[in-house]
Amino acid sequence: MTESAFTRRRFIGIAAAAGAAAAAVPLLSACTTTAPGAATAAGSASAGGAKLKVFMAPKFTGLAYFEVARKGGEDAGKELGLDFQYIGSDKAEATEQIATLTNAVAQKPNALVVSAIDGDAVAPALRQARSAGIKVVTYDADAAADARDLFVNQLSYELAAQTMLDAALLNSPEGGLVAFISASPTAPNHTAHVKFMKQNIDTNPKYSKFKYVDTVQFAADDAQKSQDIALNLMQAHPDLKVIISSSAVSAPAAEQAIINAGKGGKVFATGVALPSSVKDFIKSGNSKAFMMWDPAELGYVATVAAAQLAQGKITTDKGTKIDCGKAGTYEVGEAGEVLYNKPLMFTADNIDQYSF
Amino acid sequence: MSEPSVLERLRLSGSGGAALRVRFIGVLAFQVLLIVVFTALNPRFIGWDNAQSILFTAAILAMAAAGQTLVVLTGNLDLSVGSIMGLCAYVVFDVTSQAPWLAGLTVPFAVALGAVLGLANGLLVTYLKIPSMVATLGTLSVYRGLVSFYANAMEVTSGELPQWMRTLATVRWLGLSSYVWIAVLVVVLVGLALSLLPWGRKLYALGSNARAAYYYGLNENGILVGAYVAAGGIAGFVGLLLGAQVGNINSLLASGIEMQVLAAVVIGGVSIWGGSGSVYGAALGAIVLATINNGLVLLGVQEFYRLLIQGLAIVAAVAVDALVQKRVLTATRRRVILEVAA
Repeated sequence: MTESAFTRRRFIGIAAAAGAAAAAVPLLSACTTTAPGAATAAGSASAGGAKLKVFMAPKFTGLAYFEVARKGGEDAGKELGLDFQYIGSDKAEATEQIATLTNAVAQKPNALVVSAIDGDAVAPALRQARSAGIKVVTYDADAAADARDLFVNQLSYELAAQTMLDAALLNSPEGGLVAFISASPTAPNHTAHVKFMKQNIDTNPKYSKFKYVDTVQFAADDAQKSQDIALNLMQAHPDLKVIISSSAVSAPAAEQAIINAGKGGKVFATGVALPSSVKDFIKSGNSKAFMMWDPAELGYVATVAAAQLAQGKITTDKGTKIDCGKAGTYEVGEAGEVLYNKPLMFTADNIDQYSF
Repeated sequence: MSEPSVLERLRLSGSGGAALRVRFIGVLAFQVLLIVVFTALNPRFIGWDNAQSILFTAAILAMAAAGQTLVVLTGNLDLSVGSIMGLCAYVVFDVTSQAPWLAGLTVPFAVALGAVLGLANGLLVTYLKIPSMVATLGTLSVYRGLVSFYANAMEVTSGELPQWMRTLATVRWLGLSSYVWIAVLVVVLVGLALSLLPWGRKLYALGSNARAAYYYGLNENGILVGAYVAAGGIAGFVGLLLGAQVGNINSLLASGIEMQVLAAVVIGGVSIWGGSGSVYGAALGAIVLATINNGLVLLGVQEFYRLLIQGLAIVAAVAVDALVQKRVLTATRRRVILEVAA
């Protein structure tokens, strides 16, 4: 059943996690997260009396992207003296996450940090948590706005789209034909990314050297399917220059397919990817750039925000400043959305600095 | 009491065989139809370069389908094929990334690991008498669970793979990807084993009539376990190749591929009731699926249509199989009646 669960889920929400979610990628044990050396400043948040209890719930456990985010949450937990717990099911299903969250409420944490596998499906469980006095902060993938207090969004859709196009420009400075691979049509962030990328190509002079293939292909965050599609796209469009994907599985897999087909350096795949999975491509010169953000710092910021919210140090009002120490200061925007907005561009010059 | 002449017997028994040949030719005709339609809609479809792509895409599927054929011929299923592929690929490449001196042994390692997993499938189906669909649905989860546990959310990255396997994924022999030639080799070897080895013939006997095979004195359990072990070994090997092709390997590699594999087998004319069909048909089924995938991307058509067409092809194939089986049965009955009457 796990299997079917995986498959189904991947069609539903998975893709969602800015593609990154999907990425089952390496978290080498030797890995040190770049983000939260940040520590201290947020230390101001440390609790006065009893330890604050903060639970972090990823969409599901077992994917490297979430494990990296967990490290950030744990670091925040250590610095702030939190009772930090990582909870979740290894099954990628909304019902599993609902069960996880419902059980968590009974343990009366002060705050929940959640990446919603399905923003609407888990909303009732989150509302229940809120009515029990628990602060709810979503990260990575949002839930219905009235079911959480804050949403720490890694990148605005517009910025994500532009950063991916910037990565495409680094690979193919002369522009050319672009094709898109998304995870599924129900992944709202992937759909939005493609929409903004098309818009930018149509209207933004910076990207006017690009043309695009209108039909978006869906690979459900499956490496093999991504490769088949990449190969077939190259056949369909002999002048294809760049394949862009918000899926951290699809982007590296497509690049590998290009290399396998002997077209490395002539056709490029780019988009969201964990640096460890594209280091080899960039080092070999087959690829110039991929992008992401720092999942550890994202997890750190979300956890700090949750703790400060639970302590009453901040509110969810628009304009509220959240001091996350070295990780920076963030402002609450419309509808409780906090834009983290720190894209990372991985190139030959900096790829060695990243260990996630 | 005159016996029917040898020629007469051949003619009578031949009608069943003819139905099977028609079945194979039917798939071939479908493939030709696909080529004609896709070419008409997009002339870029026809051409050596695109044919190479299709064959490369079909290679992995054809090999996995060859293993699956062994099991389906006995009237059983192996739904755990994708999990075996993923587990073998991840474990073997993880071990060789930490112990590079083992890089030369990846193939025997993967085959042995796959065979052990196949053995477990076989034992569940034979000695515990669990219906194969349920048993391998269980191991599908168990094996995937094992690799998820083992991988612990990590990934073997492309830079950590043995160099020779990375090269293998990119190298071309006589204008075709090495994977295509390896697939041809695997399919032909399995085909020869089925037609020449007594064990191969016994698989057919078991699949066409288990009770008759039992009364004939065939060791049903032994044959069936053998089929699962061989299928597991092949799945392990194919998983390894897929891993090298994909580059970055996580615990989800090849998840869900069982549907594609079964589709290839069934479309290729291997009867889902067991006892008839060939590994070459299954390979052709894989090419049909790869052609559909390729053609639809060339036409700029989305995924849903691919699933729709693939589903229709499966249903059509099984429906035709049902007709063929009826035909074969009728032919056999007619022969028996004739012989008894004579």
